[in-house]
Order: sequence, then C-alpha cells, then structure tokens
Amino acid sequence: MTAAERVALLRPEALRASVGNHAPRLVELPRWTDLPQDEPIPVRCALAERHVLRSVPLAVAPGELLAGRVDWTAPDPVRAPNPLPPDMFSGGQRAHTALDAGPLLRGGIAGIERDVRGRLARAEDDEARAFFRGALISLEGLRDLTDRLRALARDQASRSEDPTVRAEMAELADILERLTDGPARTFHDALQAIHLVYFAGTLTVQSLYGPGRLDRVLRPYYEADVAAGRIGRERALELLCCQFLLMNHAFNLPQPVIVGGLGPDGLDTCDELTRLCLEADRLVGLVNPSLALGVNEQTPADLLEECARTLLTGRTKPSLFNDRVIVEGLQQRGVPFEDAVDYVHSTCVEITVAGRSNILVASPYINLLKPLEWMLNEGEPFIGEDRSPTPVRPLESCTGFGEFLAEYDRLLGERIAADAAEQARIRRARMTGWAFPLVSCFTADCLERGRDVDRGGARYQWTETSNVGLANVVDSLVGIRRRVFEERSWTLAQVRDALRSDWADEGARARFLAGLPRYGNDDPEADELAGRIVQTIYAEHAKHDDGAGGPLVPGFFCWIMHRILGEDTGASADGRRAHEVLADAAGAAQGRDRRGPTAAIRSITSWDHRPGLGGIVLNLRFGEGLLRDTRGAERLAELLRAYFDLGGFEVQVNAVGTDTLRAAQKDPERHADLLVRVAGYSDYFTRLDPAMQDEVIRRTEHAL
Amino acid sequence: MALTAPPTQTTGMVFDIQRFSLHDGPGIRTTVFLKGCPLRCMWCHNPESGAARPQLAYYASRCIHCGSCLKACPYGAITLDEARVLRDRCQSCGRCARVCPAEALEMVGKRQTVEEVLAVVLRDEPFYRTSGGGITLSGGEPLFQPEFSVALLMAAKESGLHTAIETCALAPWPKLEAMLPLTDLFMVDIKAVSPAKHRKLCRADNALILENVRRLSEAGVNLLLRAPIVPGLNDSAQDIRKLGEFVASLPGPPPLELMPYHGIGSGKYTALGMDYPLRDVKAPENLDAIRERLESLGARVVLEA
Repeated sequence: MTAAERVALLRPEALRASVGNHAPRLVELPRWTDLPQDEPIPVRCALAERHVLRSVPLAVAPGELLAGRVDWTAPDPVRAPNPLPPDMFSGGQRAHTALDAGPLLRGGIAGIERDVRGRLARAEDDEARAFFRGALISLEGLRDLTDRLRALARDQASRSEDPTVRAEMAELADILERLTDGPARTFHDALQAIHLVYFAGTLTVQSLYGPGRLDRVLRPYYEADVAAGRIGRERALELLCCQFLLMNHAFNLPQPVIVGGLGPDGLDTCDELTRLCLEADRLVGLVNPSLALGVNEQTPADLLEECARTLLTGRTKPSLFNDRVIVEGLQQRGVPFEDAVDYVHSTCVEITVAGRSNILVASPYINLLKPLEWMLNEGEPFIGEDRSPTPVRPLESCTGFGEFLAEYDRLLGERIAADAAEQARIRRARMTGWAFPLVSCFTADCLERGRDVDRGGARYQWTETSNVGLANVVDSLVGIRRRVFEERSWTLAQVRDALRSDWADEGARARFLAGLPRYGNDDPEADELAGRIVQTIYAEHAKHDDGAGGPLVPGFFCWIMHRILGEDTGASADGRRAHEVLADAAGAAQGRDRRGPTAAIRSITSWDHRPGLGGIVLNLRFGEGLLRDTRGAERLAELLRAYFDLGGFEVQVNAVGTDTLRAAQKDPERHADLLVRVAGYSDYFTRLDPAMQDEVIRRTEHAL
Repeated sequence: MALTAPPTQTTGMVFDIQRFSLHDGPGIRTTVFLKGCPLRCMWCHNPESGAARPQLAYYASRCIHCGSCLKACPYGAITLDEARVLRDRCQSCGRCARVCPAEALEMVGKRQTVEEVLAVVLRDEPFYRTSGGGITLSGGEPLFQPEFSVALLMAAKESGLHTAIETCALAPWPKLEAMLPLTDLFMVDIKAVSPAKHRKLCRADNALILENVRRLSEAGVNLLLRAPIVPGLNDSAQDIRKLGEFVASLPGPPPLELMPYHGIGSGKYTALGMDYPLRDVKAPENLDAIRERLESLGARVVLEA
C-alpha cells in the first residue's frame, strides 16, 4: 500500500475522532481516599497511574500499522467527583513537553524495570525508595497497556480474512512484544516505542505530551534500516503517516513534533527524514501533529521555500522557529548548547527542552491592560472582579508622562509579583502533594537522581508566563502621552470618562485616535514604547523564581486567552471597546498594521526575543492573491528568512482567504477540515466559537 | 557621471512609499511614488500622480460627518452634501485634512528630502538582502523630478541598494543618461507605437519616447519594456503589429512584459473629484493571442519579469 492509500484508508476515522472529541475523554482517576493511605504519596500516585493504564478502553483497527489509542466507542468512564486538590490538575501546569523515549528504545519495558530495580536496591534514602517503588508500579501499568494492545492486534490478525491485514496485525503484535522484552531494532519498532511512551504519559498525567524531536530520535533507526535494505522512502513515509493519523485518533490534544534544526555539533540536521515528516503531515492534513521546523542560516533554501509553498496553499503548518534565538535564550538560562538544540515547542510556542523538563507553561496568562485600567479607575477594574493588589496613585498627581509610565510599571510589577507567588505556591504544593512516576522514567535525570519529575528530578525546571495585550497597552500609552501630556487636549479624567462610557461618543473617539502611531507599523515612537514595556516585563520577571529555585520566564502568546481576557477588560485608550478581543500575541492589534509585513516584522523584532522562552508569536496572514503568483513562495521564504535574521522568535502563516472563512462560517459542515492558526496552534475553524472566528477573519490580511 | 556624495537635502514631491512591493522589479522592494507626469493616459490607475502639486482626496466611506473640516476651511470649499469638496474653490491647502479625525480627507503629495525618503527605504534593507530586492522609483514619472530622482538614486546606490525606475521615458536624453550609472533596472512603458494613437490615448507625442527606448537598449542597460493592454484602445491588430515590430527592431531585443488592464484605480478618481473615462472597459481576454502574435514578430514576451 502506498502512503497515500494508507492515508485514504485511515483518515476518515482519525478526522472524526479529532473533530468530534474536543476534550480528551480519559479514564477517571481512582478516588484519592480509596488509595492505601499508609503508602507514601509517590506509591499512591503510581497505583492511580497503573489503574488508568489498565482500565482505559483501547482499540486497534485493521489497516493501522501502529497501536495506542483510546477506544472512542466504549461507554463513558464513570465520572466520580474528583477529591484531589484542584491545583494538582489545572491546565498548562503539567506535561506540555516531549518525553525521552530513550529508555524504552534502548531496553524495552523489561530493561527499564531492571534498571529501576537495581536503583531501588542501591537507594539510600526514603524518598528515592518511594520513587523507585512507584516507578515499578507505574511500569506494570505500561506493561499491561502494551499487553492489551498486543492482544488486540493478535485478535485482529486471527479474525481477519484478508491476508495483508493478518500479516500487518501479526507484525504489530510482534513489535509490541519486542518492546516489552527488549530494545527497538527497526524504524517501525522505534516509531511504536515513541508513541507508546507519550501515549501512556498523556494518560497518566492527563495532560498533553508529544513525540517532540521525531526525525532526530528516529534517524539512527532509519539509517540502519536503509543501509540493511529493510526500508525504503515510501515505507517510511507510510509509517510516519500512520503515526500522524494515530495522533489524531489517539486523543484530541495538540501534540508537538519539531523537525530539522541545529544539532549538537552546530550543524543543521535537515535531511530526507526531515522532509518525509513534513510530507507526511501534508498528506495527512489533520490538526495533529502540531508540526514545527527549526530554522537557522543553514536551513536549505529549497526546504524553506517548500514550507512557504505549503503555507500558501492555506495549510497552517509547519510553524517556524528560530534556532539561534531560542538556543541563545536557553543558554542564557544556563542550558548547555547540546541540550538547548533539543528544544521543543510545547504544543504552541512555549519552549522546553525535550525529554529533560518539568516546566509550567502559560502559568498564568497576564493581562497587560489591567494595570492601566486600575490606574485610570482608582484601582478598580472597569468591568470584572480583578482589582489592584495595592492602592493606586491619584490621577491628578501624575503631572508628566514619565510619572504616569512609572506608575504603570509599578502596578504591572505588583501584578507579576502576585502571579509569581501564586504559581510558586502551586509548584510547592505539588512537590509534596502529588507525584508522576511514569513520566519520571522518561524524563532526564529523574532515574539518576532518584527523584520524581515534580520533586527535583527533571534536569530543567522553571515556570513560564504569557503576557497578553502588549499592542493594546502600547497604543493606549502612545495616545495618552500625545493627548494628555504633550498636546494637553485631553485630561486623564476625560480619558477615564470616555473609557467608562465605552467610547460612547464616536466623534471623541475618532478625535482621540486621529493620526496616532500604532505598534506594528515600524513607527519609532510606538516601538520604543513597546521595548520599554517589554523591558519592564523582563525585569519584573527576573525578580521572582518559580518557587523551587528555577527562574520565572516570560512569553508573549495568547492561545485563545486574548478573547477570554478581553471579555473581562473594559474599553481601552487605544480605541478598543469593552469586551473586545485583546491584540493577538506579540504583533499589532487587529487590523492596525497598515504598512505591510516588513513594517510589522521590524516592529516585533525591535525588542530582544531571547529572554521570552515562554513563547513569542508573530501571526502573518496573507490574502489568496499570493497563490496566483508563482513567485509568491519565493518571496514569502525571503520575508521569513529576514524575520529570522532580525531575531524573530517564531512565525506562523495563514493564507486562507476571507471569502473561504466566511463561507466556512455559513457552511461549517463542508469546511470541517479547514484549519486555521488560532494563536500558537492550529485548530479547525468551524470548531471555534463565532467571536473567535470573527477575530481570525479580522486579523490584518496583508494584500500581495 | 561620477558618484559623489548625494545631495541628501534635495526635495521632491512624493505621494506614497510602498514597502513590500513585489511587482516592481526583483525581490522584495520599496517603491517610491513621485508626483507629476507629462502623460495623461486614459487608463491611468494612479490619477493622483498626474499633477505636480499636492491634491486633496476625499474618501466618503471613511467620513464620520463630524464637521471639523467645515470649520477649518478658509475658502468655503467644504460642503455638507455628498461631494464634500467644492473643487473649484479648493486651494489644496490641506487645513481640512489636518483636522479630519477619520482620515477621510487626505492630502496626496508631500515634499520630502532624499534623506527622509531613504530613511524609510533603508528600514527594509534586511529584506532586500534575503531577496535581492531594493528601491524602485515610480510615479507619476520619476523623470518629471529629475534632480530629486538622481539624488535619490545616488543615495540609494551609496547605501548599496539595487535600484530600479519605472518611467515613460518622455524626457530629454541627458536626463535619462544621468541615471544610467545609478540604475540597475529600467522599466519603460510603451503605450502605443503609432504617434497619432499615442497622442490620442496619452495626450503627448511619442517620438522622444521611442528614441529614448532605442538609446537605452543601445546603451546595454538592464531594460524591461512593459506594454499595457487596454481592450478597444491599444489592442487592435495594427497596434500589436507595430508594437511587435518596434520591439523586435531594438538591439537585444529587451524583454517585453504585457500588463493587462484592470480597473482597480477607479475609486481614486472619485476621491479626487475626477471623472473616470473607462468605466465600461473590461480586462482583456485575448492575452494569449496577443502574446503569440508579438512573439511571431520577434518580440521576447515575458509573463511576470
């Protein structure tokens, strides 16, 4: 069967699963109180993990060459009220990285068990003993999960009349058996091992992992198979397609794969396997994987152009990451180069080091407009409940813009301090209140240190925030400076009243905004102010830690939070009305970048992206016009190359025409597989709520 | 002509600086549009470029009817009816545009120095570097402001940029000659080869244009000819034959790009209070046939250069 035929066979079910089940339907954890209370917490958690791995309903279907997905046709698991502290399971605060499949690849489940048993025997303290005991229990769960998948494959092999299916299923069962007992030997084995590790990890942690550096991990197996004549290009492509289909079928969570990029020797790693991964995603054309390419000055021009061509057909993947900026940013945090090049975007853009990290991402999203609202409204929000943690300076006492800005800096600092304290509390609570034994087996250096991933086992640990609404703040401050402090045509009280009224006087709004510089247009005044705000954010983050010795690392992306935070934010001095969406990621506010993509890029790269490992996103949207021009892909690739030369962190491209999007709003059924870049990740357009759909349509469409 | 320090304070009347231009020469470019043109082509899609002086434009759809302009105008040239601007009274002083909060009234054309223009152009230097792009002078007609154009080209060259100009070539040869060492690509429009037709369509004689095109191609510069194809106006069998024969007779011959007519500029005529003469003209449909005919005559036709 060709890869395309395999995709045609498996894609309908994978699409149905990925569109139809937005929330992961994972098996319920046992009641905390039902677990043996005399056991240490890591052991109790391991018993819960084993329960999950033993009871999650699984399925294997004819035609699938890899196994490991939830059976969506099984009855819903019983939903017991969860007695766990909610802190243990709030989003963004677990997983969100790639696991290290190395232990399974090198020794199989039996090999890991042997290693853990040896370490248990040599363990010198109670915590290590509890950790290793827990790990062994969780590994029993993994063994059980693998056995059940193998049994399902054997069953399909014996039931099928089709000799091809029988052979395929028998081979799949053999692979699963091999991985139970020993190392992966082939490309096919390795792919199955990678999937098994993050599938089980996602189930036990109940949050998302992904295969991560897929081409890098698979490369030695691929090269060995090719050298031995065991595999050809087409077969490898077919298997990769099966993997990508399975990701969509397994559970509907974004799962990161990043390919290409710098290797530990400083050379770019792009090769045939990298290209096969990109091709497999084009063939599969579904929401998963969340596919990225690491780009550096050695990235082959034709590969970048090929990506540009793909993006211009309306595809939203791959997203492109700047190796140099991210690796340098990680090195500034003390990560050695050879580890830094293994960075992975943790579904969207949050940077972690694959297989070695315990990082809270997007924890929390910080609404940058709120402190400005407090300043203008005596510490109270215009709408919502979010009040200033400290009293604010009376408006009339601000006699110059410098003082006004200093007060904003102070309140933003207070907000960041409060958020940092809360995240630190969560992290510390979890260090004693919960454990994740299974994923600890697949995260360096937990086994070496005898410590759970959440208790100092992971090599890299910090907390990442994401700061939302930068452009709104900058544009607001530009207007206040001009009208109130320079022209003196408005008082701060008048600005406050206009905002309280939600810009009821349209003429006044137009007069306030007329001719003001806007962030995103390469305007020095707006960009200088943006740089100033970013510096405050960086400096305030540097004052805090993650609660356990790691740094607090900022980022600028928003997922769907610009809409959610916007709903709770009053009118702002940039002309935005109450409840409206905040600016998307680190770019201009919606529709305000009027000078084209080069100007937008100069603005966003006017400040240093390296400290922003929490993720910095530039969304570029192009009209369909570019498609008709054969040189469009070439120009886009050159534009992106310049963006990276200028120090841009990450960029994603939307080339879907407004007409297409409007048609999809009217007729969602026919556009069920229309993918758009939302904010850091891709999603099915028709699955977004109408406000979010409108927002995607409104984003500046750079006409070409 | 020796490349000396460019006179950076030379001023010109500029009506737009368009960044990320993809169709005015190689790579990613910035196109500087200069005001003033010796031709008045019936299909001109930049009608704001004809006159050399600044002009007032009014975009009705942006107007919020606040009345600010009415108070600002010292000539009584603002009316509250639909036209908004009484063109016979308007002196294009720009006072109304300065107070318009909705950017519905806009002055087209601004006197700028070479230094100011170059500062904007150089912002996209990183993009020229990855794409082989640069600066393009367009208009209007760059040769209509020869001193400014030469100074700008000189400054651009000194900054190491690739330079291109879009011109109708209607100027005494020395003015073009001055640009030879400063210009990496000449893009010259040929609107009609027949003198009578050219006078009718563009209200100017074309003898000097054709002679300059010949001299440019003899000078061995990088030359791209461009022919607008406007149905019913310059696409008759005779027009095409003359075009093909002329181009084929040039040394080289230089490549010829066909530019099918589009009506995209018509909204600007309304904004400027001008009549658009070609309301009923559609885009050409016989482009392939025209191309084949031109090639049979020995022209080298390119699609998108």
